[in-house]
Amino acid sequence: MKSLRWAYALVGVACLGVSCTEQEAPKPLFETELSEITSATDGATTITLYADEPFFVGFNQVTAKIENANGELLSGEALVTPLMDMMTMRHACPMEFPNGFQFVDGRFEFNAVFVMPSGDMGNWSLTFAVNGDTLAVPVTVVQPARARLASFVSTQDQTSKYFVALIDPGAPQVGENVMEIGVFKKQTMMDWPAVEDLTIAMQPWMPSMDHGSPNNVDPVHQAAGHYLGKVNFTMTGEWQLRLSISESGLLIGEPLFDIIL
Amino acid sequence: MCCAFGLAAQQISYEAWLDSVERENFIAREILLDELLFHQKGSGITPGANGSQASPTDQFLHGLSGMHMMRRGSFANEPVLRGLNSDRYIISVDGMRIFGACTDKMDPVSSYIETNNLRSMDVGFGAEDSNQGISTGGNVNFKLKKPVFNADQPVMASLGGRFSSVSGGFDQLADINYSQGKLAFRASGVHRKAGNYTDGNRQEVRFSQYEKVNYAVSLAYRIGKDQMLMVDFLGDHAWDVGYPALPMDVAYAKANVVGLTYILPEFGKLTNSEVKVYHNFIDHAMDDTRRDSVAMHMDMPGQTRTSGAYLSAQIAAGKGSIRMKSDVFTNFSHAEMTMYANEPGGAPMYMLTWPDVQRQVGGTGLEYTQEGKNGSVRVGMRGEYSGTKIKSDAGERQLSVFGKTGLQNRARWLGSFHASYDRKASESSILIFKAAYGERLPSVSEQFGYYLFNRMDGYDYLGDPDLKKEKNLHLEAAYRTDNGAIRWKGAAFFYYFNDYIMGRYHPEWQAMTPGARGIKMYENTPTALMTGGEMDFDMDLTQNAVLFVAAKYVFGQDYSGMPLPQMPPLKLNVALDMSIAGIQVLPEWEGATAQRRISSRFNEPVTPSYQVVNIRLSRTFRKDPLRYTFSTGVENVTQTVYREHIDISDILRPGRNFYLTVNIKW
Repeated sequence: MKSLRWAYALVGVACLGVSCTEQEAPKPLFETELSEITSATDGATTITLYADEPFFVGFNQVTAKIENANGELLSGEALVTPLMDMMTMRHACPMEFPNGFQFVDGRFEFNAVFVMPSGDMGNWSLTFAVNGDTLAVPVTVVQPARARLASFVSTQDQTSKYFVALIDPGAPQVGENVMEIGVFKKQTMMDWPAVEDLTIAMQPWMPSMDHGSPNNVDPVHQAAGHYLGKVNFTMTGEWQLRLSISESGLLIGEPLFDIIL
Repeated sequence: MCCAFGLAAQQISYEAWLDSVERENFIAREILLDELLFHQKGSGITPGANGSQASPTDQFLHGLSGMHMMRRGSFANEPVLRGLNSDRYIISVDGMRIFGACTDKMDPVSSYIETNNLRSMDVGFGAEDSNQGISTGGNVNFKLKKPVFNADQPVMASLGGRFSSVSGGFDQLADINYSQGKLAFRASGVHRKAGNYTDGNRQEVRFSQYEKVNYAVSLAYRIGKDQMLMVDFLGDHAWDVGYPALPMDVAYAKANVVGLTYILPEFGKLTNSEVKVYHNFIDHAMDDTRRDSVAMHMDMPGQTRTSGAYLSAQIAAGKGSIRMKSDVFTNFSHAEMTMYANEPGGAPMYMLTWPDVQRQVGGTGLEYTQEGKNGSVRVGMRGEYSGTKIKSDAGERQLSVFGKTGLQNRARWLGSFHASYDRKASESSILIFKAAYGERLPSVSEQFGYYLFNRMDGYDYLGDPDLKKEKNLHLEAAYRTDNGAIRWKGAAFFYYFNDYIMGRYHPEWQAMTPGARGIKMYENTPTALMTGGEMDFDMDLTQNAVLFVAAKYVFGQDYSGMPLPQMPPLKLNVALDMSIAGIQVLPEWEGATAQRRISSRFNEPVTPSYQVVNIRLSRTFRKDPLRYTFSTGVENVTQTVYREHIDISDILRPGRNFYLTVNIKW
């Protein structure tokens, strides 16, 4: 589903500015399908964040409701900047704005790939710039029981740090699963671009039985650092999703995800 | 059917009954077990096959013409018809379709039948019979013993026991028959318990023990002059069954079979009409908790449930008669596997090995028989509709791994045709020519099996939901003669298969089972051919001595000209049945040639030739109203170390065995 939403988002981007004749699927009301995560106001603007689940280390799809003091839904332009404040240093994380920066009817969507949890080390905030107004929304990011973000340092240059977010399967099932990952690079503390030119081989593996599964499709780059493939699980139990990531024909890292189903 | 009625409706003579059977004999060979027919001449039963009622069913089947028994241990051997295993033939009990519930074929239907509730069996080969259903390999129908109406002796009973030294096995059996007025009742029970047996090397074969009980109850009620209502119940429960040839044993195997039959010998123009409804449930659980070292512990339970009904009748048509049978059944198969990781706290690994497969089949068969002065003609055909689908979402998701789907109904039409012509070659002999065409559905394992480990070739097998029907063109010539002192019959057959279903190795996929060599998926191979035959000969040497000789052989070749796997080599049985001072003395010799035509794709080993000698003695005393029969003997006298080619794995057959059976009949 998430990948479909992503594809839909891309179509949405393509439709921006031109008359889009395709019937848009009705967007869910904020409250019906999503859970409210947090809310903040500076008196003039109120921002409420919604998501499927509490923010976690990994790929989060976020919907923001933007209202004025009278509770009217706003339209206009928005930008969100993430910040992890660790006192001695600060850094951001990969962000995506699949529908661009324009929003209508108070609804603004973006994706945040949090790279560490909130805690003693520091705290996350999302700073919204809405129609010239700026509002920081503190958020809490938890470490999920099963890691949904893996990072590695390139074995080629020994310095570049890559972050791989497992987007799908979010709820893995026995059988065929759509597999989607997002790959990002930490260019600077504040610049986390998508990496689009990787070759990724993928093998699901059952360590306790030492076998894999047949007919998987290696993830292939689609757009904006998102790679789409297919992964098959032949039975329940503990699996690993083993990735071999190459850049310009050279292996740079072999991150893996533990999966339990 | 006529026989069942004949026996029950009145005490017609066994001879007359036999005659009625004899007429059908060339259609589907009915093999009678009753001790009155002990060593029936010309029956194609080697004498050792008979033994007493205390002998296990497997031992009886072992000696039948055209039949071999595939061993996985000392329990529940799988009958093989002319080299074809139970995926390819139909097995039924009193016409009721029953399906074993083990994905590893540890429970062929014959394992739920005991000789003391078995009256006879019909065996048909290839596509020659259209009454049990459509198949490519033949059919086996076990007929259960029925209550007997006997005004002279309302109560009949027997008790028996058997001891076997090779396994320390001790069996007890009993049955009772009671009739009064319009009601007759029969109950029987068996308990068998055996320890590990020792092979010809005097080595104990671990995990070859078993224990079981079997119980059957039948009730017959006469309505009017000749009609009858009958209820049959058969229960079988085995536990702690070892399968030394396999990596797992069986914790329990339970079968419950119930049938309700209404018999109308005359109904308008119809004769021998029979209506039946039935249901059976099989519950089976594999177990590896007793094995010394398993890569990981697994639970593998399986269940099948089958319900069905049929209607059969006969009608005169012109100079001959038409037999017809319409039947429906629905069969549900579920099997699963749960593996437990060795690390504590690891998530269990679960899969559906038979993903809740529901199969519904309905068909009608017609068979026209006309007997003339110099021979007879028989022509039959059958049409069948089947629908198969899986009923589990989890099973459906498993299939998606292979880009397949199973939720929609897979409908198939099947047809079969057969014709035979018998011609009198002389006063005492006939020549028989047969041509038949049959089809079959893939078995549940072949169509939907999911990572089923096959110990024989060491591969994990996957079903293919889109398999096509397998087809068999069957030609046969047979000859029978009986000139009083010498009787022999021989048959030579030729099968030509299209879309023969076989596993093909997929090197691109990895095995699942620890230690397996790889993955095979069932597929329709273009062709396969089989040929071979059986010969049964017996001859009166003196008034008190009969010589029996039986031979069987099968040759099989796959589409690429390679040998088909598990083809039995030439096997010979010779027996001399003598009566000396009131004691029956029966030396037997059994031998098979080596099998060097092996399938390398199935990693078959060459099997050396062997010969085995048995000696049996039996004596019956009458002391009214009781009849005692004592049988004793030595099997595998010479401690031959051997296995038959079709046996799974390298487990050896039993070494020397002394046995003693006692039967008391009232």
